[in-house]
Amino acid sequence: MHTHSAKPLRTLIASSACLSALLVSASASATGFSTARFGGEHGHPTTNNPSAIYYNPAGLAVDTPGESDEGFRFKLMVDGTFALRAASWTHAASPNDSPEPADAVGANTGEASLFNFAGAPMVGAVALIDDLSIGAGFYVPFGGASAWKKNDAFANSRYPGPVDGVQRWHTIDGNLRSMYLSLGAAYDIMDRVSIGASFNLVMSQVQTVRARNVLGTNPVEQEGRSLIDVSGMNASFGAGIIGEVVEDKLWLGFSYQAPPGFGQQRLNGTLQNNYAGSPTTDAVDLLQTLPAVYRVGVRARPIPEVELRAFGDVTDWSTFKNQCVVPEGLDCEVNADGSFAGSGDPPYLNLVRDWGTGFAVRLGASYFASDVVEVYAGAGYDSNVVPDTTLEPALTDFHDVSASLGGRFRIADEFAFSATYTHIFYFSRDTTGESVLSTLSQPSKSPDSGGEYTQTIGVLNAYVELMF
Amino acid sequence: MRSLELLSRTSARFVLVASSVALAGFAAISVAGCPDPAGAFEEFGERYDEANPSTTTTSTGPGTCPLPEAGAADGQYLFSLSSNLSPGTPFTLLATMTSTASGDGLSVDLVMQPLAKTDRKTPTGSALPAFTGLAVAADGSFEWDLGEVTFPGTANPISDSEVVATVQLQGSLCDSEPAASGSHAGFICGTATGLVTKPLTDFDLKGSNFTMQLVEGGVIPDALINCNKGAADPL
Repeated sequence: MHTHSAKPLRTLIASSACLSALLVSASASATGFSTARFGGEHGHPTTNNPSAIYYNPAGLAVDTPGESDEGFRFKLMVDGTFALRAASWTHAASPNDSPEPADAVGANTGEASLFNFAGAPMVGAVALIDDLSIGAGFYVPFGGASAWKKNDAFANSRYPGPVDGVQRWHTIDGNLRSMYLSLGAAYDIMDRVSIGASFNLVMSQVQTVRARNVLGTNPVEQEGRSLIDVSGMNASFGAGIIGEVVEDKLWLGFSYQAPPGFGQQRLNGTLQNNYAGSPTTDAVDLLQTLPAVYRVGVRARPIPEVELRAFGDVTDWSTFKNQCVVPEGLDCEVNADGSFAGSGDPPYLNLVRDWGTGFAVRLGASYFASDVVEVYAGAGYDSNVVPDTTLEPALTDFHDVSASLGGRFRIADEFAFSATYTHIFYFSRDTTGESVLSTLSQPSKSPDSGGEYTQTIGVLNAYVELMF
Repeated sequence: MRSLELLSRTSARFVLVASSVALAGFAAISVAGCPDPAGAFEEFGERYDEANPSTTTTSTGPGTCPLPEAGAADGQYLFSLSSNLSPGTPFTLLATMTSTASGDGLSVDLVMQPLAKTDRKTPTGSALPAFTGLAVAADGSFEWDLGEVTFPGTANPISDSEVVATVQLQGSLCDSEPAASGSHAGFICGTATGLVTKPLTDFDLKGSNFTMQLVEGGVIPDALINCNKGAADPL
């Protein structure tokens, strides 16, 4: 039975969960759920601030024009990215939906929406001794979080499920993130070419709850809940090169980031179900493969007061075929139609993704008004990697364009701070009639996810730099 | 000394900026939602319990009734176990029942062969170990503890997983439910309880039902899922 005394404790726990969202990006994406925006307009593959440890480790050793490149130097960067995200999903009844009971019309159809805050920290440090540099960093380049609004029309319903929103069969609340702890080194060869590499320790976590029926359908009368809570540690690496093609005027950079675990990740934890009022907990693994990222960029200073930047990335999300929840230690063996292909114990759930390769491009320019003030602007485009057939509210993606405005203020030789606001404009999608999830066989079957998707995100990035 | 002053000055500036950023972040948190998956899961459980204050039984339970003569109810039955997980998709087995007199009641033996989930007619996997000496009271009521049973994945209509569960059946074997042919006990039904240990751990079967329909003329009937004779979902 309901216990009112549990409410204060839950509020406290929920508040803690809310604060922990500061470690989660908000799908302020490049592509997929790549969310690396730390460094703002100064986070790119030819940068030489400590964010280079992810964007291009070679940048750790790149000099800044007009500054000393000899002896011992040190850089510290503390960065925060904060995002406000508004999104909606409007679902019309699908032929494959379970009929809604007469007293629960609108339980599975209509609009769901969210308005969420999320944040992600980045901390990086670089020590340079002449041409050699050593760097370290912590950051969250992959992540997403969502908490959908309640459907108040069902606040007093005799059915316990619909109040969690129309989208609940795909997600109610969820966190997904990969946090990197990196150690890198770079070397500046003859002041013209820098090469660098980094080793990453990646901690990945997935915690998400959704409405679920054992048959993968969406009957309101037999609605349960599934909560997966898994995590795991993997290694990966990054490597890159930056060439100073024209001294103090033109830099070209290329970098590569290997996928966490160099392939399939196995995240371990629990799957909690509540079917028919009987909670169960089982040990499971979540299997997924995150992408490799290739970056290229060019940075030019035609005159000392102006810097121009053009950069982009290709992120191989084609590796993200599925997210498969299996009994602990087992593999995910499924056929193309989603059915179980093995002979032992089948997966509990196989979420088909079938994402594609994505790319992003960005142009930016800075004007150095004085030795203290730099103002800059940028604009970019990110491609969509999620096909209409598998797009669902838990993990969305769109074609989008973004615009940024910001400034960096070096108020002392040893100290600077920067703030950038970026607004991301997403092109709405209508996938009604396109979703294949409800046509798959178990354990891959899920309710139809077709519908109209909208999203807009505002991102504030701020960082401070300490240099000596 | 100059370094200390510098460090002090820069630290103060850092604290100022960092505090501003943090304040902006926390202000935003106060107006926007944030994820709490575990909380949402727990709240659903509370709402479910409020909406279902006692064990859910989806069929009218059996009453007491006249007991058939020993042997009168013997024969083959389509046994359907309709779990609370998915009532419309029952596990089906072909059950062969024999009965002998035992005191005022009966003693029943059951041999049960799982049927394929694909057609609910074709035997699949091995027969369950025979259940012997299952008691039926003089008023027709019974409580049979089948112990731990294993269903092959090919008989599991919910997933492809092998199922391991303890099963107890509570029902009545009535002379007042003659089959069309006039045989006694053409329809036996009741509730099922127990605990699933695979693939879900400790899933409670409370609220589940079972039926036994006499197989006449070698034709396996369409499965019924409860004492109200609700039909199973079409294949």
